[in-house]
Parts: sequence; structure tokens; C-alpha cells
Amino acid sequence: MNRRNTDNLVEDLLGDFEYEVQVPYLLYRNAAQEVNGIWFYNAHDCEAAANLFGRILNAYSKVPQKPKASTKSSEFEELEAVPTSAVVEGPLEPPPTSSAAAAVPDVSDDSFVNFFSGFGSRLGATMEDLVAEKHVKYILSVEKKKDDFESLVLEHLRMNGAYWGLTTLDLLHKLGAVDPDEVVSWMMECYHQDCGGFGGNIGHDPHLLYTLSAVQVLALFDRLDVLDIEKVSDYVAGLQNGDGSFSGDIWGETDTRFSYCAICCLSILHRLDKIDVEKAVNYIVSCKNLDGGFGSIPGGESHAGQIFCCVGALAITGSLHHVDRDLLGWWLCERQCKDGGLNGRPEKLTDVCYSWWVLSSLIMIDRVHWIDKDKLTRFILNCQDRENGGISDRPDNAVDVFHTYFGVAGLSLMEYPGLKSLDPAYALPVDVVNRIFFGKQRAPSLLAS
Amino acid sequence: MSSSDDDDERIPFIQRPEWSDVRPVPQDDGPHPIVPIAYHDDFRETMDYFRAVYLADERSRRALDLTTEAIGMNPANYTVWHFRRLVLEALNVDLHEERDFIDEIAVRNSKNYQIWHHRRWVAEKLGPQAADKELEFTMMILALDAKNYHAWSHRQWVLQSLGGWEKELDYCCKLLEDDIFNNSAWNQRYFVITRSPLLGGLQAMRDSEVSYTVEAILANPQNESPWRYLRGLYKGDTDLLVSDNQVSDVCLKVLKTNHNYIFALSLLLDLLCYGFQPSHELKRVVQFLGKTETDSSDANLATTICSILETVDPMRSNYWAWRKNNLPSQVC
Repeated sequence: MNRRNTDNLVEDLLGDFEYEVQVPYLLYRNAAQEVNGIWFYNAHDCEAAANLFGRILNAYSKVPQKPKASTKSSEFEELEAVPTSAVVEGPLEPPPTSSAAAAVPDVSDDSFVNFFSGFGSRLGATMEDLVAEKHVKYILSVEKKKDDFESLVLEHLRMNGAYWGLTTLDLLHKLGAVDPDEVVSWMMECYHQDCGGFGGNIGHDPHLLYTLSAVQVLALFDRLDVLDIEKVSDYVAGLQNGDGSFSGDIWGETDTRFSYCAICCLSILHRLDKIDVEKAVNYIVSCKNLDGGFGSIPGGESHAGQIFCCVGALAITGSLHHVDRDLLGWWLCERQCKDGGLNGRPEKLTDVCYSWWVLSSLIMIDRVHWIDKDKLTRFILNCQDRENGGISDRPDNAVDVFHTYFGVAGLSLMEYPGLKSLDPAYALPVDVVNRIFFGKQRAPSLLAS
Repeated sequence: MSSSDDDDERIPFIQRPEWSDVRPVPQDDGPHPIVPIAYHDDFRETMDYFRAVYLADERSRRALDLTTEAIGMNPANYTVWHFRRLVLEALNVDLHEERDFIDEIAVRNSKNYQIWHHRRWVAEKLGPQAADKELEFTMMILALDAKNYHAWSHRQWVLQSLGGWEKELDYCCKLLEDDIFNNSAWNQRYFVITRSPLLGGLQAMRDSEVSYTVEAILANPQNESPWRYLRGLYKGDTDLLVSDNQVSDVCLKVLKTNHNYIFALSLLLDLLCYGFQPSHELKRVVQFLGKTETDSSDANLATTICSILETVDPMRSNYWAWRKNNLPSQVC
């Protein structure tokens, strides 16, 4: 329920349960005789939730008792009394660097209502539908196919491939299948000591895309300590242009994708203060279109991938107030097509990768309940190669690591059973993000930006 | 790439006398590659030789030709492109030739970031005289895929940096004639209307654009793009949007056809939320739809619209339910 915390609160409404509305609190007493209050930012939502409780209880009182659905019980911790303060928390320290900025007050609205109302009607998705073991096998041993031209072109972006593959393994609780020392030693061979950036592979020039992937992978393994953090962050910060935008490398290609890479990377390294955050934000806002979406450059067509980058960057810098959540949320939910999948712009084909870009954007602006999650889940599951593992862009096409990651990530965002929770802004498991921001080292406090 | 054809014609580097002084450098994948990649022998050899000249920083003609071969095999390899630029600069090559080279390879690789970026680098160096060719080039790519995001980004950059706005609106018209559903073309249209130094700006263009858009909507009311474009023409000025009869009229016209009216309803809903006072005719048409589509009958028009949308657009029923719960208190 609370995106800053991996523990979810579960209460049995159908047991000994009483509730009372005292705006802005919805007070309840559960079977364990604990009295808790859920705080709502919006009084209307508070009443709506109470009404929902009432309707559920009425509905169940009329219907013969059925065995309780327990699909999610394995995922949730044993319920604990949640003191009111846990859901009332103000901005965290340090405030804008955490994706929690996305979960600031609005977390109380319809997502809560739908958490209860939507969940019981889930398609009964079980772990069997996701062929997790096959996907693990697929990632661990990408076939050596000499005739596969696709493999050849991946050589220079192996750093991205590593991030996609390893993050997927972690989501499937199988990161332990990989030896961190081997990964780290290969990664450091991709590091350019002279400038502080990472290349896509050994012998490749440094670039922001691969620098972010490298930092993300090191974060997965909790090995950020191998970095010369000052040097790497100087490299990233050095790519900011006068107008606040970022170039991908010394050759100057500018794209809001790079704004996201830079901001995400620096945030993980606790060095956002090395860039002009205000200018960076202003540049991103200049790429906002009238449909509420964002393009790669000012005036560029709204595209789900660019939207993810812009919204993610804004979330990380605590600047989501620039987003018209309702307008963008509507544009994003209009991406869902008849087959249940999502496309990236109007009148384009659906593709599994948009399960990530559209979904994470919706979550960051707290509008994910506006899509039909069951249909999307079905769509993703249908894109699996159930024989050999891996996920493709759409059903019956060839699989690749890229789409495997985005498919699993999308399922994780929809709380598919058995998967680790994924942070929508950092695109890393929530426990990894928590370790970064609440682990041993506290971040230097961010000066007002 | 047909590997058998290339195998027949290609002479391995090891057999080429002009390369006999170079020792190829093999790919270092590290001791235990974590994401192992299979290699084709020709590719492997070409990249081994590339690595040699790259590490030696040899900026020669043969190095340039080598990058041409490497790019032919793997146009996405950004390091090869980087090095090629260094060589081009060192040799002071006529960039018109380079542009021709890109023309050849771009068609097969029209979604490749490196090629587009390289194109831009060349165009920047050639300056404003390059504008026409760049517009021609993107037009060629768009003729193959009218929604290619890279082509559109490049085209927008060309217009803003090098000029060439004269025929852009006509070009948008043509693309929309080809495919009225092309969202990229609608986006470009908006780009031209609002940014072209040759037109009068949004306000001056608004009336003619509204007429154009209304026609497009009536032809295909299920087309998402013109509805968004129409809203965009009022650029957040909700009073203007509400008071312009053309907007509510197009909603009414579509609703009366009783077909493909989802976007019409959602625009009407927004108008109502901005304070629009509906005519009797509008109310009647909506109520009629309400009776056919839903069981309930709501006195409030906006609520009726939400109920209808929940039924006819069930994928987004949560959104329409939320709209229903969040109507302004004074709405009709």
C-alpha cells in the first residue's frame, strides 16, 4: 500500500472487523482488538473507502461463505499493527532523492480503494502462469547461436544487457545464481579511469546509458563501494548542457532519456548536488506537451518511453508537481488496446516493453488503477516462450533479454505473486533502493533545489 | 544482410596485403562472460582489426574504410561511429561524401540512434545550406515509416537549427492525407503552427486549424489524435474552449451518429467540467444514449456521460468512475 515500504498491510474485513469514519481518519478495530487509523489526504477518499468497506460487508453478508482466496498470502508479511504515523510520514530525509517523492500525499486516493475492490477479482494468476524457472534459465545461458545476427549487435551494449538480465534475476529471487565478483571485475574493465564513465563493453567509449546501467548493477550487488564516486559523478555532471539538458556523451546527442540517466545515476550516488537540478527540471518541463506527455526534445511527440524518463527524473528530484497527473494519467491509460497490451503512442502496436514505461509512469503519478491490470497481465504472460523461457514484444515473436526484463518488471509493478517489488523511478528492486537511501551511509542532505 | 553473399565477395583481412602490418586485437570478454554473445567469424575478424586501429589511434584512410565495413556489419556500435568521426575530422574529409554514405545505410537502419546522431553531426558541420537535403532525407525515411520517431526528432531539429519551414505545413497535410491516424504528423502540425516563424502563431491559425480538425474528426471520430489536437488549439484556455461553438458542435454531430462517440463524450465531459452550459439538443442526445447503454438514469448530464463511458469503455472503467466521483459541484 505504501510505496516507501515493502510491507503491505492486510486486514480481514470479513472477520471481527469494525470501522468508523472520523475524517481525515478511517478508524478500525480488527480481530486482534487493535485499533488503527488510516490517514487520508482527501476527505472524500476517506469516505469513499468507508463506503467500500460497507459495500463489501453487505455483499458478503448476503452471499454464502466461500473459501478465502489466498493467492497473495505468500507475498505478504504477517500483518502488524500499523501505527497512524507510518502512513502519515512527511517527506523523507533526504527528500527529493527518493522515488518516495512520487508517493507523497496522493497515495491515499483511488489506488487504495482499488487495492481492495480490484484484487479479489484478479484472474487468479498463480505462479504457474509465469514460467519463472524457464526465464531464469534463459537469462543465465543465452544460447551461442553463430547465425544469430541479433547476438552480434548486442556486443556494444552488454552493460545494458547485464542490467536487464540481472535485475530480472533479482526480481525472480535468483540473483544468487550469478557470481558478483565476476560481474564487478568485468564491469570495472568497462570503466574509463581518465573520465569516470562506463562503456557498453570492454574497449568501448564511455556513455551515460552504460554508466547508469553499471551503477544500477553495482547497486544490485551492494558493491557501489568499488566506485570512485566523485569521479563518476563528475563525469555525469559534466554532461549537463547550458539549457539544463544532458548529452549522452562528448558527441552531444541530447535527449530527455539522458536527463533521466544522469538524474537517476547521481541520485543513487547521492551526488545530485553536482548538477543544476533546477535547470535540469526546467528543461524537462520544456519538453512537456499539451496532452500532458513528454517528448525527447521540446516539441517532440509524446512517447511512453520518453514519458517514463521525464516523469522518473521529476519524481527523483521531487518535482512531480509539474506533471498534470490527471491529464497524463488519462493519456497513459488510453495506451491500453483491445488485446490488453499497451502501446507507446496513439495508433501504434502494443509491445511488452510498454508494460514497463507506461505502468511505471502511471504508478509514479498514482494513476495505475486506471488501466485494466488483469488484461495487461494476461497479455504479458502470453508473450512468454513457455518452452525455452524469455519474453517477446508480442505473442509468438522471438524473445530477448530486453523484453524479458520489461515483461517481468511490468508484472512486478502489478504485484504479480512471487516477484520482488520494483521501484518505478529507479527501476531497481525496492529493497535495493531502501538499502541505498536508508542503509548504513546517510546521504548528504540535499540543498534546497 | 545475406551472409552467404557477403562470404563470397568479402576477402578476409588476413589475406589483404594492405593490412599485413596490423596485428588484430581480439575481444576481451573477461574470464567468465556473464552475458555471453556468439560471434560470426567475419564479424569477429573485422572487429579485431577495428580494435587494433582504435587502440593505435590510427586516423587514416584505411581506418575510415574499416569503420565503413564494421558499420556495415553492426551499425549500432557507437564506438565505431565515435572513432569514425575522429578520423573524418583528422582527414578533413568532404562531409558531402559522408552524407551520401549515411543516405545509403540509413534506409536499412532507420531506427538506429547512432546513425541519426551521426547525421546530425554532419549536418551541423555543413550548416544551413544542408537544410534542404536533410528535409529530403527525413522525408525519404518517413515515406517508409511515417511514424519513425528518430526521423521526426531530426526533422524538428533541422527546422529549428537550419530552417526550411516554408513547405512544412503542406507536408503535414500530405502525410495526414496518406494516413489521418498518424499521430506524429498531427504532432508535427502542432509544432509548425506554434513555432514556424513564417506563420502567424497559434492564435492567428486557430480558426482554420479548427475547421481542418473538425473535418478530420467527423471523418473518423474514433481517431484519438485530432481530438487531442483540437484541445491543443485552445492551449489551456478553457474559457475559449467552452465558448467556441465549433467544439461543442463537433461533439454533438458525432453523438448523433450514435457511433464511435467515446472521444466525443469525453470532450463533452471536460467541457461540462469547465462550466459549459449544454443545449437542449445535446442533453436529449446524451440522455438517449444513456438510456440505451446504461440501466440507471441520472438527472445530471455529466454523471450520465460517466456512466455511459464506464459501460462502453470498460477497459478504463476505473478512470470514468473516478471522473464521476470528482465532478465539480456546479456541473450540469
